Amino acid sequence: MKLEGKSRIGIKSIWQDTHRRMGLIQFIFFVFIIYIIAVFTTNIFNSLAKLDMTLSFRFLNNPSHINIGESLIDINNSSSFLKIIFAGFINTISITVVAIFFSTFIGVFIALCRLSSNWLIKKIAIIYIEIIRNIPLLLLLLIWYRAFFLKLPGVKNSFAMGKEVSSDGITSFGFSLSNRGLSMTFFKPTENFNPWLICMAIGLILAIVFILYLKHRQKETGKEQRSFLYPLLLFIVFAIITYFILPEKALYKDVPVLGKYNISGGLHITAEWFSLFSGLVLYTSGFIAEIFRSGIQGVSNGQIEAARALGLSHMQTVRLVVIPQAKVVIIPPLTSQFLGVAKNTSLGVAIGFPDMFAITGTIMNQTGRTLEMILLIMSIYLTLSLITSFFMNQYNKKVQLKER
Amino acid sequence: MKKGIVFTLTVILILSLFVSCNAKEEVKTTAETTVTVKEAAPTKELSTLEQIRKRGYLVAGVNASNPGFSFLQEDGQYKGFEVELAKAISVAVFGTADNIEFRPLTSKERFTALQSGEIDVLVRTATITTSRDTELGLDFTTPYFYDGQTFLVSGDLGITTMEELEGATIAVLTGSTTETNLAATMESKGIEYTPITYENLDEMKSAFVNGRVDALSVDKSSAVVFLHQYADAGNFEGLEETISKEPLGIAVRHGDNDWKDICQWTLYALFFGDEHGITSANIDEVLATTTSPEVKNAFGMGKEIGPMMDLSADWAYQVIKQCGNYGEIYYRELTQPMGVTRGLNKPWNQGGLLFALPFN
Repeated sequence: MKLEGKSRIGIKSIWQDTHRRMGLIQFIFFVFIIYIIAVFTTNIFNSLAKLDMTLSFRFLNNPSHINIGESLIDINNSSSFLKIIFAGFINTISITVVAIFFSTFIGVFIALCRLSSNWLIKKIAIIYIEIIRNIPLLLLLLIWYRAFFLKLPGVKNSFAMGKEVSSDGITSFGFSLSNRGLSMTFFKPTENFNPWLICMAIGLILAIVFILYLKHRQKETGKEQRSFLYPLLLFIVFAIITYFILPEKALYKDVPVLGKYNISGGLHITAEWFSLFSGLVLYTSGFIAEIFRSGIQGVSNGQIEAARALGLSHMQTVRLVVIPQAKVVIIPPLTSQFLGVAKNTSLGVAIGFPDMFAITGTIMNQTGRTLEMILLIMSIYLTLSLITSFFMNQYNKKVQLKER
Repeated sequence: MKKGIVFTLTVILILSLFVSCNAKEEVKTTAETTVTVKEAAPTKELSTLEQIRKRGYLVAGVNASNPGFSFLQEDGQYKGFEVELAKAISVAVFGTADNIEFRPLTSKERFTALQSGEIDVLVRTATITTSRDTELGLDFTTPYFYDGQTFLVSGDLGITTMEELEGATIAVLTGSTTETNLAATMESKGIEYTPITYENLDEMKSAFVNGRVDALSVDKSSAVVFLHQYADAGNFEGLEETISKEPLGIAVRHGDNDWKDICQWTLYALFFGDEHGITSANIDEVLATTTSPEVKNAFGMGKEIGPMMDLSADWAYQVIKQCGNYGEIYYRELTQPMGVTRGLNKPWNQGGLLFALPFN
């Protein structure tokens, strides 16, 4: 009957058909959203026109005339705006990656403490989590920066280890902590770095081949192989041996030296970077600890008891029964935490860390291109977040329980 | 099955309710936005002055943490040189200094706040530059303060010239002309340095006092204020060198010339009082005895200048009477509490750069 009615669709028949009705409602809603967007966009363009301004990204290629305190790429005063935004992006990424790594590590450790049967350790972990989770991140950063780093002694009388004064009055350090940050002796590549790099690549290939072989053998014999540990050892040993065999040394020891104002050379981590890093790690680890705890506790006791009944050892139970099931629960909220770290780095602006957000803010002010910069930074953060969540989702799919 | 249908229907009903609710709200917003869009047409648009009159008060963008110029006191009141200038504009428009609301803004936010119409006037150590005047869609009055950029260093270093800052860490405020001036000057002189940019003046001062940075690059007036404030915190000193010209002006939106005229001539009225020695104390006396046609014009006793700008006839009189002339404000807010000297900020007839155009 309905099929017949199709030839003359009236309002009534659309309304009576669930599918068509839903479609209609969705269509109206869609048109409505488009309308709203259009109105706002026209409004923006009209307001800009009123101020004799047009939306243009061409200025990004102009020299910036801005200097940035710390950058992992080579920039100077005449670098283009695009390049210094990129420098800021690298700063953001560097801190994000390192902070994610450390906060996961510490988070897991605290989760384990919290699940410990030792009363004291358990309580300490609970107090840590509750305090950290209930303090705003900005406050943590300011505490680290103003109450810790700025209160450290100046460069001339820093906390130092391996301090040496040479005959010509040059002071060098093995390790130094001052209100400028942290400096330590570091190995840096010389001009003869490339041959060693090639050797390491060969070592990596060997290690991968070894892994594949061990996996294969595990399948053939059914006997468990340490398919990760031995190849790793192989790689490390190979790298060390080739380093010493090669006639020209690939690395040299860079020692921090005290100049008139600052310590130069070696590995230098600025107080701003370290404050932001410490604040982020403290804050995120509290949340990550709770995610891991809930994941682990989410595995029902029956599973563990069954594993023990089958004769698995404690470690085997954890590795083969608890972790695979806990992972399923842990990954999605962990993804949000990781995304949060990337976005929270923007708070570094409060303590003078030149991350992408701080730099775009400066550009906004120097050029007056507020709208363009906001659009740009929004799309960069969005892309970053989408990439992270893409990989995490792929991993999530892999670890999800496959029900047969 | 039937339950399923009922459930879906309920969901749709609720959803459509939401949709309609949203729709209503959004229609409202769109109605508003369309109105604003329409206002762009020159015939219907309310001028800044009309908007201010309609609202009943003036909104001025100022700094909340720059003692001497403009800062928020413990009692919640703003105080400082720039605050007084903004109040003078309020007096010119309303006849009273009370019809004003201050918006604290950072260097970064200030121009956007003005462009977007959040504030009517910006009196916040804004250096007048070509790009700000043209590209940013702003308009400036003549400078109300002539400043220049310099360095503050720790006295223990024994530095006298900026060449000696080779390799130093220098703090600047982000989004200020100071930042670009510093970069440009250091590049031209080939001096290597590490900049750290702060968004907040307090954060920057704290970093300097604690020795995180070796030098601050700030305007001379701010340097004097800093030295005054932190006299006990350590041995600091300013360098003699001036690396830039920093003329500070009152900023308004580009395009509303009537409103700019009001800000500009209020400033001239303050200069005029200073130039002719007419103060809040002696203005009544001077007006009773004066024979100068220009003084008469300026204070509404000759030519009716006020109504030309849509202000009351005695606007300039009220400005001087209630706020004092430029020199009085300067002494009250900068010289007396902070020890800032007049420098170039003197009337032209006393060897300075302040020059009021003729009131005629």
